[in-house]
Amino acid sequence: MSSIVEDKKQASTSEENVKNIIEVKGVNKIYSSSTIALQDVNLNIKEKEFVSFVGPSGCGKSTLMRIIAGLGDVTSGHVSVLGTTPQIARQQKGEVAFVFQEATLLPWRNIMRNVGLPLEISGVPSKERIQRGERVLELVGLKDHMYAMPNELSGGMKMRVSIARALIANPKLLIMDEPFGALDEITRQNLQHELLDIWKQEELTVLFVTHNVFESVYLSNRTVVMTPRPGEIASVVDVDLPHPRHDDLRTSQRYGELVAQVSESLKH
Amino acid sequence: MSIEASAKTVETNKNVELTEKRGKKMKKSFKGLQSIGLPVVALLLFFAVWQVGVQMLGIQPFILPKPTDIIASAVENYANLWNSVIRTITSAVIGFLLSVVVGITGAVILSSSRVVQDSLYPYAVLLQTVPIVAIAPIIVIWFGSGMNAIVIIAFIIGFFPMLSNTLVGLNSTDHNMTNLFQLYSANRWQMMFKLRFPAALPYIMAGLRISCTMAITGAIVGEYVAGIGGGEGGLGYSITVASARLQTAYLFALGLASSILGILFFALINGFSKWVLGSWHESEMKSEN
Repeated sequence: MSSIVEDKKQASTSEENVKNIIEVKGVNKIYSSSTIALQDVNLNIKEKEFVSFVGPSGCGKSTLMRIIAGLGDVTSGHVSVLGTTPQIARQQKGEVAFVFQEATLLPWRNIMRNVGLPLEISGVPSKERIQRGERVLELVGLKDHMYAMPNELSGGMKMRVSIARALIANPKLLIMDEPFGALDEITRQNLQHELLDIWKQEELTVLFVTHNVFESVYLSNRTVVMTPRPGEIASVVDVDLPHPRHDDLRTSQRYGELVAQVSESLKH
Repeated sequence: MSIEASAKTVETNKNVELTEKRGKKMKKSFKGLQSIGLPVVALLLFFAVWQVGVQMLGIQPFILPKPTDIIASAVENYANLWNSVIRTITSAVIGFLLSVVVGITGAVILSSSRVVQDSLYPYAVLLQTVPIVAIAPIIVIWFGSGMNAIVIIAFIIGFFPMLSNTLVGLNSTDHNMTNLFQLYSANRWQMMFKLRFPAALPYIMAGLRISCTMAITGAIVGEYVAGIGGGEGGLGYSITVASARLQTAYLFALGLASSILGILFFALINGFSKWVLGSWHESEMKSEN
């Protein structure tokens, strides 16, 4: 079923001639305990798209993200990222960044040294690390806090640092696994707007995993609905809402319809 | 809300927090005075009861000396006491440093490979269960009486807490952080020294605190067995001599000196641990709630 949806999608946009940045073909993932985490997943994602993935726990969305990030293998099927394997895209090109649910900052390092970590690991000299660190911290509005320690920051600020760290290597692809799940509603809405600004400004392709149907529709160009046991794509909903998006969108009729459509697909 | 605006609200909130914190600090220092003052008063009271009690009951000084007798004997044997303390400190510190270096290095090596760890760690545990007094004579035969044997005994006693604590610390790195380092393709070396080792520091500091007092005990036990005369024996040797001569007051002074030594060493290591972890680890952070 999912492949039919995909085929239609491809046909409709083929004349726009936008490159696929990610191609997932017939991917299955079976864990040793014989649970089927992913079953026949097919998905193409174009450059500069904002795609959200919504579904209950155990639907395989995190597994799919790990595979695309090159942190896990498929049991069968094929995945290509930026025209190469996920591992090469991440390791050799540094084009793939990941933001986890937790901010995962190293508590013994100050904000600047946390943000510079990816560059430090790949051997970039400290002067350049600081320059690029300042740029991404400015992007997330935390330049004044670059010498603070993580335990001095609120949850929302920690998540901003985590995003800055992901952006420091200038990735093309940003994968976010339930990044705002642990934040309060007000902080979450602020960060949603900031994320959309960053997405436009940095010309990123974003894959955004969430439990939250409203969030998935509000942020994305396309929402991929996944269902568990076995983990598969139930439907792909095109979100034809205009950008930039503002809070008044949350009360619009079309937004409500899309949320209802996504919620309906989740009930399979 | 724009990015700058939200950052500014956070900042004003911070200032409010800061003034609140200052108020709390004042209250705290008042409490601190109380928490130091009361135990001191209790201690003085204890000594007074001791002094008067022994005098009134007419207890023989070789059974239970008065506090003033203990002070007198410490003054009388001042040279020997000071010399013993210095010897014991020297042996204990060298033994402690050895146990720290060998313990941490051993743990880093053990934790770098599951196979190495599984095959060697049981023997480290076994070594710990051997009572040190039982094998001390063997150490004396191997390394001769005097400082060598004493340092080695202090080392053996302090080694295991260092090894096991560091190992537990290195093996309990947060799973998300390990994922993060994998994501950035960190090599094993970076994984160890940029992630696992700093993450293990709270455990290592706990190990240091245990080992430092144990190293003092180890040095004194070592001096019992391997101490030699001529001002080379340290507190342990002086204790055996004073005990043989029934110098009870001086025995009390020596015991007291050993305790003070242990407390000071512990306080020093504790301060070091606060300095290392102060800015980031919960155990050493001033509570804000």
